[in-house]
Amino acid sequence: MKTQLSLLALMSLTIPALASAADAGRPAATKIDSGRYIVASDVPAEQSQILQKDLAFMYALNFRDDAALSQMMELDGNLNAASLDSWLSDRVQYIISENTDLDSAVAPVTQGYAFENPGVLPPLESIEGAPDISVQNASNTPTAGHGKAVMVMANVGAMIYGMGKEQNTLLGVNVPGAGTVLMSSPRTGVIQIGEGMFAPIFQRKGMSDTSTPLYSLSRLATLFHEARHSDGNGESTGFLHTICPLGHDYEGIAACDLSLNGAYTVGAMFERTITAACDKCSAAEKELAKLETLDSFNRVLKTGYKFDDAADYTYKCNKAAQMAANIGDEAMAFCKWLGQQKLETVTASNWDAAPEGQRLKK
Amino acid sequence: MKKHLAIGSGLIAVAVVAFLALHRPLKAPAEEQSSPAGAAAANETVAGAPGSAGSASGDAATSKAAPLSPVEFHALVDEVEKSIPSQSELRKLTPEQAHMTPKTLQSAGIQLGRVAEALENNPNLAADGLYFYEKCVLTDTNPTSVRALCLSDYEKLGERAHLPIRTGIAPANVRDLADKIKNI
Repeated sequence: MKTQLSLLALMSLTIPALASAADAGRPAATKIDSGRYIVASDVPAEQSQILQKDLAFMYALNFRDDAALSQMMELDGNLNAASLDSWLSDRVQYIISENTDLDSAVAPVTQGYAFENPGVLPPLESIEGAPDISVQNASNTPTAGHGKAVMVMANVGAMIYGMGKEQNTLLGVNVPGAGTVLMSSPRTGVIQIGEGMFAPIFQRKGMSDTSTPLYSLSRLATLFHEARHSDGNGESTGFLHTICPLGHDYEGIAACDLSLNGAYTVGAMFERTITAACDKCSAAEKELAKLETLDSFNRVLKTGYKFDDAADYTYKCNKAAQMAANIGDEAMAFCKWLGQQKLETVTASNWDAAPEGQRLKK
Repeated sequence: MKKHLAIGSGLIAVAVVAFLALHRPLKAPAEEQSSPAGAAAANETVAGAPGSAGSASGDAATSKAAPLSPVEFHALVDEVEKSIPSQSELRKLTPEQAHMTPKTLQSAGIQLGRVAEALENNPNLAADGLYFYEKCVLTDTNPTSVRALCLSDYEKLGERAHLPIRTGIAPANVRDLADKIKNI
C-alpha cells in the first residue's frame, strides 16, 4: 500500500537556517556556459567540465531546419545551438550532485505562499483499500543481474516545487556554493546529476572515453529530457510520466508518457536532430543515438489511463491474469472489482507547456 | 475492503514518493552539503567559444577500423546478438534503471554501431549484414527499439548495396517506430 510519508517527513524536519554561518569557507559554485548554468560546488570538477564540453559540442554541430522540433519546443528564432541553449537555460539553472541530501537541503521558506493554479495538481490517484499485488515482473520489482541503480539525472526542482505547492509552502533548496534557491516555479530549474551520467557504457578501446561525441549526444538528450519536466502548469505541471502498459518494453514501469510533447518526445526529437547535425559523427556513434531516439519515441503512448494508480493496478491485474498467477483472494477480488470500474482513459495529446510560477531572486 | 477511487488531499505526496523512487539514488546520501549564500560567481568559463568545442572526431570509435573478413563479421554478429537484452530483461529493471535508455540497451546500441561500422568498411559484407538485420527485426523477444533500428538499417543497407530486401517483415509498431529515424 502506498503511504504518504515522504512529504510529511520532509516537511517536519528540523532544518537549520539555510546557508548558515557554518557554510562559510565552502567553495563557491561554478558558472558555465557564460553563466547560464550554476554548477554546485559538490559536483566533481570533471563532471562540470564534461558538461561544458557537451554544450560546446552542441555549438559545433551543423543544424538543419527541423520545423517539428522548433514548433514543439517553441524555440526563440531559428533552430541552432543558441536557441536550444536558450531553451535549456530557461528550464535548467542549477546543477547539483547526487550527493546532495535533499532531506536536509530542502526547507520551508514561506508558509501560505500564493501559488498559481491553487489546488490544481497533476492527476494522481489513490485507490483506497487496494491490496498489494505482487506478480513476477510486476512494476517496481527490483532485479538481479543489472547491477545497482546508478543515478543519471533527475529534475528534482519540479518535484520539490510540487511538494511545496501541495502544502501551500514555498520551499527553498540549499544549493552547495550558491545558497538558497527559492522553488517558486519548476522553471527555477534544479537538476541533480550522478555518476551514471558520466560512466562508460562499454569497456572497449575507443568506446570508454566519455568525453567523446558518442556520449555527448546521449548526455545532451538526457539533459533536454529532464529540462522538459520544468514545464507545464496545473495538471500538466512537471510533465509526469505514466505507467507503461502490458506488452510494452517497459511494462509496469513509470517510464512512458501520455503527453505527445512531453519529456520523452523532447528527448527523442532533440537527439534525432543533433544526431543528424553531427556531420563528423561516425556511423557507429550515430547508432547508439538512433537507438536512444527510438527507445524514447517508443515510450510515447497513444492512449492510457488518466490516473497513474489506475494504470498501475490495471497493469498488475492484467499481468496476474496473463500469468494465471495466484495473487490471493483479496487481490483477485480487487482485480475483479477494478475490471468492473469505468476507469477514465485518455488519448495522448499535447499538454499545456506554459510554465507555472516564475523564478524569484533571493 | 473499502474500494473506491478517491482523489484526496496529499496526493502529491504519493507522487513525490513515486518520483523519489524513480529519480533518487538507492545509496544513502553522503555527508551534508552546505555553502555560503550568494557565493556563486567564481570560475566562470564560457563554453561554445571558438576553440572550446568538443571534437566530433578523433576518438578511436570513429576511426576507420580494418575491414572485417566474413568469418570475423560472423563472430561479431554472434557477439552482438548476445548483447541485445530481451524485452523480459527490460521489464525487470527498476524505475531508476528504466527512466532513461538502460545501460544494457545502450551497450547493445554500441554493439550495433560496430556492425554498422563493419558494413560501412567492407561493402562485400552487405548480404551477411542484411541477414543479420532481418533476423534482428524478426526476433520478437528483442526490444521494440532494437527491432526498429534493425529495420531501418536493413532497408538503408539494401538500398545502399542495391540488394533486394523483403518488405512487410515488421509489425506495425516496429514499422512506425523505424520511420521516426528515416532521415538520419
